[in-house]
Amino acid sequence: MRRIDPVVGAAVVLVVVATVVLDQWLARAEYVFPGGGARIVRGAVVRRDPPIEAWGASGARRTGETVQRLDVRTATGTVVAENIVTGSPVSDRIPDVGEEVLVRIRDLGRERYATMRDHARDRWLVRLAGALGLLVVVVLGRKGARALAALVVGLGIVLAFSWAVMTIQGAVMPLTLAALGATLAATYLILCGATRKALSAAGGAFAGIVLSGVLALLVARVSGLSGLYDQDLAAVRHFSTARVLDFRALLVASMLLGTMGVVMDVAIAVASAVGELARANPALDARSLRRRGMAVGRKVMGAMVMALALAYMGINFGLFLLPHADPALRFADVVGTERVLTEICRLLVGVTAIVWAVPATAFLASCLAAGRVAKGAV
Amino acid sequence: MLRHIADLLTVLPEAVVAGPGASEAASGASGVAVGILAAVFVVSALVVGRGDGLRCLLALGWCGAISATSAQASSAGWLHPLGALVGCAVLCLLGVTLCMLSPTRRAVGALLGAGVAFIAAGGGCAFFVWRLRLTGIFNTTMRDLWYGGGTRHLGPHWIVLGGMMVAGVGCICDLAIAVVSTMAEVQAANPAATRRELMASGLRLGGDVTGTEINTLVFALVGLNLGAVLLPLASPDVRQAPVPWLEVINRQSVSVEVVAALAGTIGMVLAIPLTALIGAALLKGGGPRASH
Repeated sequence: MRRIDPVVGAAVVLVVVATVVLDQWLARAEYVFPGGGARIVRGAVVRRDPPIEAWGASGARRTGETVQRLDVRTATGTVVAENIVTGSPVSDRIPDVGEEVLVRIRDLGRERYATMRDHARDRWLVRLAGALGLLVVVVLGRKGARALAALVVGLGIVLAFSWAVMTIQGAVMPLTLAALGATLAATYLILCGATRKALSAAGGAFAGIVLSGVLALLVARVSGLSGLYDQDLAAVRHFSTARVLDFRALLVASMLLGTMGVVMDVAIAVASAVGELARANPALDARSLRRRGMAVGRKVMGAMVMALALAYMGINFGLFLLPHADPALRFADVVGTERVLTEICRLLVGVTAIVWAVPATAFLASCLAAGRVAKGAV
Repeated sequence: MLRHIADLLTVLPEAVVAGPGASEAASGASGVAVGILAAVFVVSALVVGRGDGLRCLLALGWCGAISATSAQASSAGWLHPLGALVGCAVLCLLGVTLCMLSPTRRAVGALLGAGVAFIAAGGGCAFFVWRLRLTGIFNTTMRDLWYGGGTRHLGPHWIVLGGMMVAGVGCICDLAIAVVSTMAEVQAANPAATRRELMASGLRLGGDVTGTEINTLVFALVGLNLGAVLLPLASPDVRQAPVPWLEVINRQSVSVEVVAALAGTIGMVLAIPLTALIGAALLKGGGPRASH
């Protein structure tokens, strides 16, 4: 019988425990508004009146406004929550019996007034993340466990970056560079250890991202992209104290963070190839190593450009349909809008960073590898 | 589509000539700036990538054209939106694979492995679209499509489901190509390698590549949704109500991007053993010519 690797076993247990703990914590989580007059809790719908269909025809279920009364069982008892149904999927949220929903409860002296806010989706997302974690560890073993750890650390750094941006409310670009550098360093350290390969990959990826970031800042400034077409950034601008934030810089930061994963992949492929070549033939000089590293980078580059492009195209597929929304609308009018230009810009910045990371990494990796050979380290 | 291109060619020069005072000038200047960015990318791809860069540009153009044609086909009612988008994903998969590999057994292995993983990821996306009650109207673009007369009939949830499937296909395809190419190289270097040894080499390579590749979709979609990460961390204006974090993490926009990223990544991980299995069977089944 095959023995289970203890590291893999520990990683499996950790993923399962983390998923269960997070799931149970969310099941009990509530948000209390400042002052304590209102809170948002979750509960399961036990009765609906009237029982409107939750899924099916996407529009014009009924005309006019209907107030649906929901009996929702929460951790502290059952509340009757109102749910206003208009017949439009833009604003309607119609739950099934047994489904978890979020309810906002306002205490008005002796009375309580409850309204349904949204479907509760977070626990399912946590379960999906747990399933991914398990799959990665089971299929890929120790390497998978390391990849998962690197991903979690990277996401933690992005969260810390977001907190720092909202706390300092300035210095968006320096904070972005710090977050990019920290994520690259942490990911490569976890995956490759403190090696020349990790150093050259991190340096090459950082150079590619920063160069394309400079280009993105210039283009955003010239083309007047404000960053505020994003509903959430606009909400930060209008409903919070963070009005002094440079939203254009935040837009560029979001572009650079988005491209980081794919650039990391290209950079490590080039750095690994150069390292292997130097090991296989110590007589190769820096120039030959660079040339061969570039050859590998060219092969990887195309696939990664397509991976990023399809990811953006898929999620923004609605933009392809936008010119057809109104027959009177000209295609150029749609393309000229900030949201379309922003997404085109995001894609171009990402793919340019991938392309530029190839020579940057090949250069760094060849210099470091040739230096090692010269010192007789191989 | 030709009408759209003609529109664009007519309007952009007008907008630039109109001068800084005109309302159209902003879009003209924006168009020119983004055009320069596109030119920088094309030149960089050709200088750095040479022949591979050209193939990459061709694949990019192919995928763009296929996406635009799918949009046209679904809005005109020729195809169901989900059918159009799945067709788009499959054609992109074909285009990218054939651009990267010539039509050999490697390409067939990569296509089959990626295809099965794509179906698994698509099934996962469909389950979560249903389970999380995603109506598809999660941002201003989808809202405009719903209110627009020409696209209201499409069913936004189908568009979102299809979009999630397209989003994952590039990464899945990339991993499948990497795995099957390595197996073919091993087979060429050691024709005596058994099917099991070939599979093991494919799985090893998959493990090496996944370490960084697993970040691709997750960071791409975190970048797209940075506003949603920042919003709960913002201190509320004293006159305004705060934005509860519990509501933000349950919002449809967050769910759409999390499901797309996680289901696509699950597809990527599944592509490794599937491609290794299928690739080993194909490469060992075809004698010495199999690796060429």
